[in-house]
Amino acid sequence: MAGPKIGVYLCHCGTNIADKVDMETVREYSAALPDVAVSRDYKYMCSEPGQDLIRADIRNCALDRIVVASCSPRMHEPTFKRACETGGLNPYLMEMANIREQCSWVTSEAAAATAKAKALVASAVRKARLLEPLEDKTVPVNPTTMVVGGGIAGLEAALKIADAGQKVYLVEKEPSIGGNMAKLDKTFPTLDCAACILTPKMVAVGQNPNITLLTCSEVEDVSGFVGNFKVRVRKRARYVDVSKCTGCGDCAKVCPVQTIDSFEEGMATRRAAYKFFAQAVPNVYQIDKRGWPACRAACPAGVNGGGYLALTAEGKYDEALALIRERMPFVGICSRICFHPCESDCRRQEVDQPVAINGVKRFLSDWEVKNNLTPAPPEGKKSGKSVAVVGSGPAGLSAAYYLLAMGHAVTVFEKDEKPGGLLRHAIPRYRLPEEVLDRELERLKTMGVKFRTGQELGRDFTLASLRKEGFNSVLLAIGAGSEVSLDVPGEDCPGVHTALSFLGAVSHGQAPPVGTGVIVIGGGNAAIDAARTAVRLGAKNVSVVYRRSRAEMPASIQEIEAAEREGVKFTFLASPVAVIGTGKVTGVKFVRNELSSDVDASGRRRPVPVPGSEYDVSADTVVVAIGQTVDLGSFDPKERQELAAGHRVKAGEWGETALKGVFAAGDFVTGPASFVEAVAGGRRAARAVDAFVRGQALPEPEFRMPAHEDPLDLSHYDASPRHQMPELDVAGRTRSFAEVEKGFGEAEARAEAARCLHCSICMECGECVRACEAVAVDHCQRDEVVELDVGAIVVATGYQQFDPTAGEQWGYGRYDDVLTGLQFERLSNASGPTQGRLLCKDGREPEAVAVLHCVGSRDKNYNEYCSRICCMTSVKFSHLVREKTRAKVYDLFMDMRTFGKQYEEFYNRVAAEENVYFIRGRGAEVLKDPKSGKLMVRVEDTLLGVLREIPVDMVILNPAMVPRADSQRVAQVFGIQKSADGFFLEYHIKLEPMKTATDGVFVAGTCQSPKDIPDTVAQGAGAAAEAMTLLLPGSVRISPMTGEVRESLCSGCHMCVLMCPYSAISMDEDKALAVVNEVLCRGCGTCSATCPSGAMRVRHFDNSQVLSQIEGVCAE
Amino acid sequence: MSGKDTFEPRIVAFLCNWCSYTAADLAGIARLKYPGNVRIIRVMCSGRVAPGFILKAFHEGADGVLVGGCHPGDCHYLEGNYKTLKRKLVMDRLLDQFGIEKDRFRLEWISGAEGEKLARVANEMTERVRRLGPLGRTRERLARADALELRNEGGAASG
Amino acid sequence: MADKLKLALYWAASCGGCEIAVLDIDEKILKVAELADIYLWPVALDFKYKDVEALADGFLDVCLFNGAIRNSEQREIAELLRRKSKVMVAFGACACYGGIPSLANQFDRDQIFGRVYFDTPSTVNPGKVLPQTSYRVPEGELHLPTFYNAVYKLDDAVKVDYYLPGCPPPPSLIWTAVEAIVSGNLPPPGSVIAEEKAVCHFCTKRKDEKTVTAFRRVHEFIPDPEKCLLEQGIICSGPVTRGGCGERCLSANMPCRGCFGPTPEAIEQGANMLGAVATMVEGKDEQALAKALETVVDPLGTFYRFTLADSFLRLRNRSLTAREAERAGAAPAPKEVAS
Repeated sequence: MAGPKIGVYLCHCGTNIADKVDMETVREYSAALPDVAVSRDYKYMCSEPGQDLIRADIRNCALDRIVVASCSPRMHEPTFKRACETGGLNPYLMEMANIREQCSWVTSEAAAATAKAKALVASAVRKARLLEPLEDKTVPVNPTTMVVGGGIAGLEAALKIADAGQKVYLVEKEPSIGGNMAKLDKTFPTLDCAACILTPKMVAVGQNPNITLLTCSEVEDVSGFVGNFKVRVRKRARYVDVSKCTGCGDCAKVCPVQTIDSFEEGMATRRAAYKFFAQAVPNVYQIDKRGWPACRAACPAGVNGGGYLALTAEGKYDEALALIRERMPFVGICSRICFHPCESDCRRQEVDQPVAINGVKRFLSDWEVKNNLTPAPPEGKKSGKSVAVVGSGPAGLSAAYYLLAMGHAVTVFEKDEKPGGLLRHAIPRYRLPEEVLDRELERLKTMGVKFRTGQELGRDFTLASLRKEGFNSVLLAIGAGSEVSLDVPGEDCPGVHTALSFLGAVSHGQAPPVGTGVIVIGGGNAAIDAARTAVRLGAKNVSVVYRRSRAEMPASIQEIEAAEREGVKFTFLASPVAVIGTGKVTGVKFVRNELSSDVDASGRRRPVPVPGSEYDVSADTVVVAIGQTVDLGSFDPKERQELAAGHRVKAGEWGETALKGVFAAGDFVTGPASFVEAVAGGRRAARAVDAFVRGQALPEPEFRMPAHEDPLDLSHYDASPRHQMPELDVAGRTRSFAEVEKGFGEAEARAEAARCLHCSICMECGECVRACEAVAVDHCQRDEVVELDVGAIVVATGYQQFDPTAGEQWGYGRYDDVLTGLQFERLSNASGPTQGRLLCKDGREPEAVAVLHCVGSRDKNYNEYCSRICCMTSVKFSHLVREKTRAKVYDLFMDMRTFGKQYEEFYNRVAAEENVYFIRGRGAEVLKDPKSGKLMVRVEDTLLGVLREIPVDMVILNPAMVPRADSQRVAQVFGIQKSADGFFLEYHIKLEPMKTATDGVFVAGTCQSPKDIPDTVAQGAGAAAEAMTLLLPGSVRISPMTGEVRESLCSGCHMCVLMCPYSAISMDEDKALAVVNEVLCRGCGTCSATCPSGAMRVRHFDNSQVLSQIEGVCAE
Repeated sequence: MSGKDTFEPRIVAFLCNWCSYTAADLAGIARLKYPGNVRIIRVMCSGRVAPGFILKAFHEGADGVLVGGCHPGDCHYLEGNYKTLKRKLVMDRLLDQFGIEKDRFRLEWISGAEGEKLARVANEMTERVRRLGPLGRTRERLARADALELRNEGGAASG
Repeated sequence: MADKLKLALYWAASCGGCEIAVLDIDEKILKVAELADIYLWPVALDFKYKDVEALADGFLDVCLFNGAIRNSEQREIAELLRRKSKVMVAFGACACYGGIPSLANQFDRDQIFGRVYFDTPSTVNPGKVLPQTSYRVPEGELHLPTFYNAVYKLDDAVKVDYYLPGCPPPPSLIWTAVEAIVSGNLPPPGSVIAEEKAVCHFCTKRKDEKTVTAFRRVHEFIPDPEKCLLEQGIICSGPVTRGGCGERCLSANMPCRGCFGPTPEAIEQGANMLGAVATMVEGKDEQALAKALETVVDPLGTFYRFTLADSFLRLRNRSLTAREAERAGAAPAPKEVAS
């Protein structure tokens, strides 16, 4: 069989190729290659006559393969493919050799270039011999376009497409469309107001029925292929229902949180509930919430510290108290005894010290008492169900409160005569006065909680009797009341007490005599309580002995410090080995400990006794405070078996036990824990009990937002020290059980609350919810991920301004009145922070202003490129300064680039204005003159050849346009490449400025390169045309250069399946063959490179074709 | 080719269409210079470069082989370059066993914007391979060996 | 057919397993004797080279030639048998692809001789004596064959009509070949007498996701016999190796080593398997990958176990070995010394 007939066409490209490559030599060489029938060279093969040569030869010489040696196939492959097609040859029978970009342009010597050209032609000829005809596939396209970015480029693109009757999704990251242009004041050269020309387009977009606007939205992922993309978009929660919001602004009026206004370039503040800017589209508000504040995230009960601080600062005490009670019913108790992890995590400490959050809570409680307010009991629709709560400690009381609020009848059983549990027995009165506890209990009673005191489980009632009595559910909150003993000789000696019995006796007015020396053994809060109590009972020497070191002590640091102030001594790393004394304690024998190098289950280092280090300490009283465990003695054996798991109570996340309808909460479940954890547990179990009695499944886990942990811009906050809560003096307090902490006054409390940084912006105080008559605010909104099907994508994500803090020489961020271009735009804008008045920070009108070009542009240290707009912007600034003030203006430029229509005229006009001085030279440095306090701008006047120092009051920098900070991620999501300057890379810099390497993805505007508004608008419209050109035919040709399985060779090994990034390969398990979905396949060929048996081929880049190319390039 | 005085190494470069090949075009547009001995073969993705291609190139007389792909994370086909990297890690060891020095086979991530990097890598690699000397075209060597041992009686002695 | 088949069998550079394989066709060997007259079979019958030389060219119907070409004698006999035979069959992996002996191509003759005659611990050779191709003794001159610098497959020396791969070829396949030859019902010349599809196609183990975090070797654990060995981290050449062997290794829960050579469209067996195996490994970054891929032990020996003489590179790069020797300041080339 005769081989193919190949025609070789060598292009001179004018002199581009022919100057370096000896065309005649290459022609002769190629003519001699196997199967080459025709070989020609021509000046411009891509021209019509050049193409005609090919077409004529195909007809006249019956050529069936074509090789074109010219420029890069990325340039003219489509041209020559078309030439073949119109000449009657399948376009895939053409192969190109790139002898321009890869040869004549990069090779220094002519001989080497000619040799290389021969090799490249040989390579192409060898491949051409093996080429096979392929047919483009057509697939239907989705006619919808997605435009990403709502700046002027995106708006223009979306409007053009929508006006042509096509559907568009417009995705914008910010809450409103408008982009950077919305911040501008006037636009050059016509001095149109930016808002005047932009706002109508924004409104048109907002109202166009063909445009679906997705604001606060970001594209997370793009899959699929040209004409058939699948796009995943994350719509960030704006916490306002856009369909209900009327844009009235009532929420912002009441919002207590002030934060930096990014739209005003940091020159003003706004509320957490806010509208992006006055003309925002959509014209709705949103709430800027970045998670939970650190305090709330740290609280075991999720009490919203930041929220009540914000309300307190505004004087809204009722609302603050209600907010606390959503998670913590016992404000008076909590504000006295909580170890407040909220303060430990408070981010104010990044500035100075944490906010005294608990102290503010204490004020609120005091304020309520002082004003004799009885807060309205929470409302709950009566359920007709009844619940027995056993135990009246914090967990039981908390559960009772919330169960009642949910509408159930609640009866609390307490074995003692008075309810309160450990709150009454164990917390010393100097920390928690009894009347505070009684007040909270009274409130529960008023609300309707029934108490049955003197009733002990197992003695007076049983679970069975409760059931018989008709309770629908039982909640066990009987605490961990069994104390752990020392287990040393002499422990039963009179004068040795357990912590709870000691504290309980004191609380009930039956304090035992303590003598002068008291030893407390243990390191928890109970130990500290016992020690401080002993001090108050008159003991002279009180010491706490703990077996590990101070760092491992579980007691709260505030308590330890308070005890030290009261004279309590601490001994660490010692354990008792015996209690000394007969008939009466006289001392304790201790042994010293060392800490092990390893850690135990609690993550702490273990104490190890040091042999021979025993020593004696004399004492009159010993208090043992080394822990409590759960006591299950009051249950019958069968119940006990079901309830217990070892020494613990077995309960689920919601406190549900193995006994149906019986729930558990508090220390009874967790073992000894804090008050706030018990309250949290009580509330959680109450929700489970509520679900049970209503016959519902256990509730979903409660939503906790993660804490906002991003770095804060601390430059906006001035240090203001934490207010110290007034306390009884030490002399006074150690003689009585009077309360130590006296609480803040109103002024202090409000000032303290105002120290809150609002670290997560919105604090969920609820003011906006109450203020919104349209019921549009929804703090429970979550981010939503939507999937869109689109055929084409226009990426118009814009630019950001170069940050001039990158260079100290500009003084930006160091001196007031050194502004960026966008800051000046806002300052000059009638809706900006000064209503358009040009003022220095101190309120004066400037007398002299300098405008600097090329800040971060045309500068090897930052960006080498010209940002194109700065000259005109600077001229505009100079004019605006003159228009608004009487200041002299110094405009410092390197070159004046006024390249656009009417630009030069505008420049000439401004240059002619009085008191505008144009100085050719780069503004080199901005300094402050210590004497006059004026800013000094240094510049070399290159026309006069002199150095100048110009005193001014204001400096306007014109920073470079740079790629957005997230441009790398955006590029990866859309499969766009970036050019060396970081802007998105177009397919061809001149001929395909909107296309990208990914078919169906187009770019427009300043994400592609710096450009002014006219060019941006033109590209927006151009990208719209590209998208419509793609979509309107209804189908798109996709490359046939896909994978293909040679079934006779495929052994079904599965190797290719996972190779495919597009899941285009699957297994036909019946036939044990791989199957390629050619629509999904993009032709990368990775499967073919992986296929061990060679069964998987990729058309046009088949193994045999590439191998022959290798032979070709090595031939010469 | 393997002249005795000036050894001109031959380097075959497999470049992916989207990044490295674009970079080669950019190098051309910028008129950056690199030796004519670097010969480029376009593939759609560096993941297409089967290990057999590399061996074939050495067999055909290449003194060095360069594979150019997109930077990690930038692959036009998501992760073809990652697969190339895996193969390269084993190829290195195989080539070592074949007595082919490390510098003769190179994998580089070259983005479409890095024309300068392409030229630099081409120059650098040519220089390094030039220093290593000719690999010897396996095909020619085999032909020589065949001639010597199989066709030509009584040629090589055993010691 | 009227006349009995005229047959020759020869054993060149190989282990002899192929000879045993012929006997392994069991009682059918008697049928072979019935069907064929054997003119050369050095392992079994006492015919001399000169007997063959005496035959007319093309006299023999078939030659089953096993073993690779390692020295001049093997080449000479291969050429002789080629002349005398109508059909030349490369019998077994060594004749087809070089086989195990061609792994010696990682070293050249000097290295091999140096190792064998000087370096092995059990060698005592103070006179640095090496075998010579010719040596004069009082009775006259003695000749030894020339030891080649490399191992070649049979078709490097002579034209081969059919390839019967395997190490050794399985009896069933031998019988198929014999029957085809006897009946004259032969495939086109140049064919490999085996399946087109890879071993994988015939393997009954369950295949699923081809990803692993590392490879292991057969002595390290007992693999699940139901599951694809590659997916259990054992390098198995099943996907790249021609089927037709009867999957004897796999049915013993051992991986395919590749003795049937590459499938028809594989670029080359070793490189293709390397590409597939490397891409199976997952790792979070380059370092992790490099570490995981270290578990692919001895890539050349693993992937080119039977086909080194058939690969693009075939030989270790000698320019390097020469330079290495230079750097190491190796002893000067051994002199020819008479023993």
